[in-house]
Parts: sequence; C-alpha cells; structure tokens
Amino acid sequence: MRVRIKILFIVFCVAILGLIARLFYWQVVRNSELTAFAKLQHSLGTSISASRGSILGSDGSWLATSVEGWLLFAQLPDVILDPKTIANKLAPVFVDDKDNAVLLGETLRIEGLLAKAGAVWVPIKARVDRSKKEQIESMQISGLGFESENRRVYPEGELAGQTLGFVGKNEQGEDVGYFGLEGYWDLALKGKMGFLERETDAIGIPIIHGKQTQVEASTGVDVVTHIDKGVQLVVQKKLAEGIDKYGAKAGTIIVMDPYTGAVMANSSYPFYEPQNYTDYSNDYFKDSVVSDTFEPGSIFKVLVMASALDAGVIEPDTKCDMCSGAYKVDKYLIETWDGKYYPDSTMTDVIVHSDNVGMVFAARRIGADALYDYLESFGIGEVTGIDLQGEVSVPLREKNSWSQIDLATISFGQGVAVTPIQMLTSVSAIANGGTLVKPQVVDKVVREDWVEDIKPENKRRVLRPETAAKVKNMMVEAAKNGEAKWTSLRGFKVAGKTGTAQIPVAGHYDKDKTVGSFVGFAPADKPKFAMLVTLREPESSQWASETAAPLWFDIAKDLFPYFGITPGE
Amino acid sequence: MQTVKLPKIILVVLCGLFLINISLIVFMSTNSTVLHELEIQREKLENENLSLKSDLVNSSSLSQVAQTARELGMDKPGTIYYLNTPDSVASR
Repeated sequence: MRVRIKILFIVFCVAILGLIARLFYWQVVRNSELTAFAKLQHSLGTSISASRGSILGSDGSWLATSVEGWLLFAQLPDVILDPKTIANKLAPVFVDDKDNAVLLGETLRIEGLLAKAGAVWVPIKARVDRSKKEQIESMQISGLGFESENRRVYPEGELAGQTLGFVGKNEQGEDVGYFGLEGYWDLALKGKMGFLERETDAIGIPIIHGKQTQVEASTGVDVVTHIDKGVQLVVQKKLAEGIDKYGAKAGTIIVMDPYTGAVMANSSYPFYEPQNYTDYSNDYFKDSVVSDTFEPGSIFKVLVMASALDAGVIEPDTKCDMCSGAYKVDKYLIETWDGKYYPDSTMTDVIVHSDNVGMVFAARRIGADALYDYLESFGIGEVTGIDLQGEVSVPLREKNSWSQIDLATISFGQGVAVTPIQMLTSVSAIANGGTLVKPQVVDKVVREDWVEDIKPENKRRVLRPETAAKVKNMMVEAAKNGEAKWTSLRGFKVAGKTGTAQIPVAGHYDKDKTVGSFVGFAPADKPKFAMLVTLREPESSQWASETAAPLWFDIAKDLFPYFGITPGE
Repeated sequence: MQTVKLPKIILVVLCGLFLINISLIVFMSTNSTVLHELEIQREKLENENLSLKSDLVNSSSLSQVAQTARELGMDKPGTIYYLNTPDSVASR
C-alpha cells in the first residue's frame, strides 16, 4: 500500500515538474514571441495616411492635386491563368502608346512579376485610375486585386510642367516630390502619416474602452501660387509656336510682377507632362529658368548703363568720344554687332543702337570695382531665392581681379553668366523704380483652419528712382527705335532691350550658335508685367531682333487686353 | 433569522452585479459595432469624395476647356480696336 502511495506521489511530482517546465517554456522562453502573437490577435494597428496637399493657381484652381487611385496587385497562390496570358491582357491597358516596343516591354515586365519564384503578393501597377480599374475588373482574372491609394494628377497636362515638378518614389517606396514646387515644398505638401493601434474582438471589431494608441495624421498644406493659368496658357502656346517658327532648340519665358516679384507664368521648352514623368528622360525635368545659365549679351547692357548713371559718371545725354570706330583693348578689338559706328552718340543712342563700343565707354567711366558692386547689388552672382528646387548661380569674377578686357566684355554681357530668373529680377529693379525684389511663385500656404500669406520681399535698393526713370526712358527708346522697332506695338509704351549672345564652345564663341533674348516691361511708367524671352540656337535668324523680340511682342499683344493695358498708358 | 438573510442578500447583490456586467458588455459591444459601421461609412464617404474630386479636377482643367472651345469654333478676336472716349465737359 505504502509503495503504491509512493509511486503515486512520484508520478504526481513528475507531472507537477513537467507542468512547471512547460509553463516556464511558454511563459518565459517563448514569452516575447507569444505576446506578439496575442497582440496581433486582439490588437489592430493601422497607419493613417496623410493626403498630399494641392498646388493651386492664382484663381484657386488645381495645378496639381491628389485624387483616388489604386495599386493593382496579384495574390500569386490564387492566380489560375499563366503569367504570359495575364501579361498580354494587362499590358495594353497601361500602354497608351501602341508602339510595339513599349507594349512588349510592359508585357515582359508584368510577366516577370507574375513569374517571381517564392513570391506570394506582388504589386503590379501603382496609381491606376478608375477607368483602368474597371477595365481590369471586367476581365475577371482571378488572383488580381486592388488596394486604395492616392494618385497625383496634374490636370493641365504639360502646362508649367517644370515649375510644378512631379511626385515619384524614393528607395523606400515613399512618395517624394522632385524638382520645381513639388521638390521645394515637399515637406509641407506631404504632411505626416498618423498611426492607430487598438484592441479588437475576434472578428476585428474595435473594443470600446479597450487600449488605444493614436497619433493623428497631419495632412499636407495646399500652396496657392501666383501662376495665372490664363497668362501661363498664352505663354506656353506662344513659346511652342515660336520654337517651331524660329527653329530654336530650347527656350524660356517668364512673366513677373516687377513690384512684388510674383511669378505669373514660367515656361521652359521642351515641355513634359509631370503626370507621365516616367515617359521622359531626366533632361526634361530641369527648369531652365532657374537651373541653366547663359551669357546674356546685350540685354545686360541696361544693368551696366543703370550702374554708370546711378554712380553719376554719365548722363543719358553724355556723348561718347570713342564711338567713331572699333576700339582696341589690349590685343582685342571691340566692334559693334552690325559694323556701324555713330560718332558722338549719346548714352541713349548707345542703348538704342546696342553699341558695344559705347558700352565700353560707360564701363570705363564707372570702373571695374564700382561696376562689380552695382552688379552684385543687382543680384548677379547670387541665387535669387525663388521658391523652386534646383536654382543655380555662377559667381561674378572676383573683385579686384578684373582686367581691362573683362571690364570691356562684361559691359556688353559677355564673360558673365546669369539664369533667366536672375536677369528678369535685375531688370525688374529698373521697372519698379530701383528696388531688388525676391521672385516668388507661392503666394499663400493654406490648411483647413490656417492661412499663411507669403508677403513680397524687398531685398535692397539698387538704384535711385531718378536713375531707374532715366534707364526706363532709354529702354522705351530702344524698343521704339532700336533694331527690333519693326515688331514693336504702335501706341503702347514698352521698355525693352534685345540681346544676341554667342554661345561659348570649347573656349571660343561659335558665331552660328546664339541665344536670342528680349527683356522688357509694360506699360513703361507703371509696369503691370515684366517679361523675358530667351531662344536657344534659333535657325531662322541668329539675331534676337528677328526671333525673341517678335515673340515677346506677340505675347504682349495678348497680355495687354488681359491686364487692361491701353495705348498711351 | 439574520444568519438566513445574509446569504440571500449576497446572492441578490451578486445577481445584480452579474446583470449589470452583462448589460455593460451588451452596451459596449453594440456601441463598438456602431463605431465600426460609422468608420466604414466614413471611409466610404472619403472614397466617394475623392472620386468626385477626381471628376471635378478633370472637368475644371483650363487646357481642356480651351481645347473644347477651339473645337467648337470659338476663337479670340484677331484685331482689337481701342476707342478714345471724349473728355468730360462740365455742364451748367
């Protein structure tokens, strides 16, 4: 009997020890793993998406926004048809261009994804729109599904493409804005994702008063720009026509309010559609207005002339005593663009005739150091600070290192590089009476209950108002009686200047390759807009007076009624 | 007498607590379901909102409007005439 009790006792002891060991295994050894399993079973964690803010035109209409979209995916174990058949059905839905090579590429891409060994879930196409989703759903292919996601759209197509930029994916697969406004304002536009974790019951219904952790999502802000769609549409249409008509390789046009720096239109050719950015090479994305520099040529003369006038070393009626022929500086001979010389011409005549020798006269009067200070004050050599991604600037040649030939060539816009936005901002200082303003694309930043008005920013005074008025008058004369007089609009008081700059290639200037430009503002006395047109390597004529100038006036003809500018104003 | 009453009272209290507990569970579970349904409805409305926004964005595109206007034969005037308005004259 006692033996039996002992055996029973031992059995119980072993059982209890086994139980303790098992409990130790579950509760200590596999504690973290099982806790995680349990948490997964009764708590649900979801990220709360923060929708990306919109980019709006000056009238509040959309330039870029986020709308419904879907991610097409395949649940491979549920797929019945073979990958090739599915790829052949899906590819034509995604390829608009029925070019065989593109279609074949897309077919192979989808087939490769579906044939992925060991994969269970594969994403096939992101940002699918509603019509394509419905088209695919009607095919009833088993194993395919859709997951809701936001889709970035640009309803105006290629309008202001480079100014807007686009939204692509980074290495982690997250949406990121690249180039233009999307790049510059990316952090503000994208907002911040939120997170919600809470206890749920067996069928996934949340338990009220259960444990809950929530981090609110912060939606992206909307940015209201100064871009006037009406002006932008005219500018972009005319630029495309101009490129075609004059056989240019590229071109840029900016329209700005010279008093506030508000950029009303900004266009770079060749255009691209931000929504279909994957169809274009990287060369298209850069905004030449802020990212490309060029030697400005004769449009730069107005800055040099303004500097000399403001320094008080010349007056508009000062006569040039060295303008009767070509002028020698060191071993170089400075000539006029057309080989014509005007002895004793006034400084106004120098601007009207775009006389290089006359400009050397003005530059010698002011001197290298003072001219350097004025150009620096005009913002040449520094970025303007425009709110677009990718702005560049080429510094001016160091002060005190300018030779006589440097001073001479800079006086007519050679040996100095500027971006179109720098050039227009500098000329705007003449247009507004002498103040350098910061160019701005964005006017307001808006959230549901909060608006931040971005005020115009005056950087500094560059010229005295009297000087600005004198240069304006010279520019009015240049537009009316200069080499582009044939194209000017009768009755309208426009201040302008043409510029034809040869392009430096491998250390020398190529005579056949030029950048034609025209900068101007209207009405001259109280300008409502300032505009710069540049055309790269026009084929019909190398002279800006026959390419950029007529294009400028052609656009101005449409802008005058739009801005309510009347003749004689 | 008192010794008989006490267990009865305890029993009644326990039954009451049990009933309250059950009611609370039913109440919370119902509310959870309502909350869940509201969340589904909100998600549906948000999707519908996005869908409507998508239509609105497409139809309000200025480029599209300009294209349609051109196709309908509308064009901006080729020549604009500016008229001089006579200066105002003071009347007696």
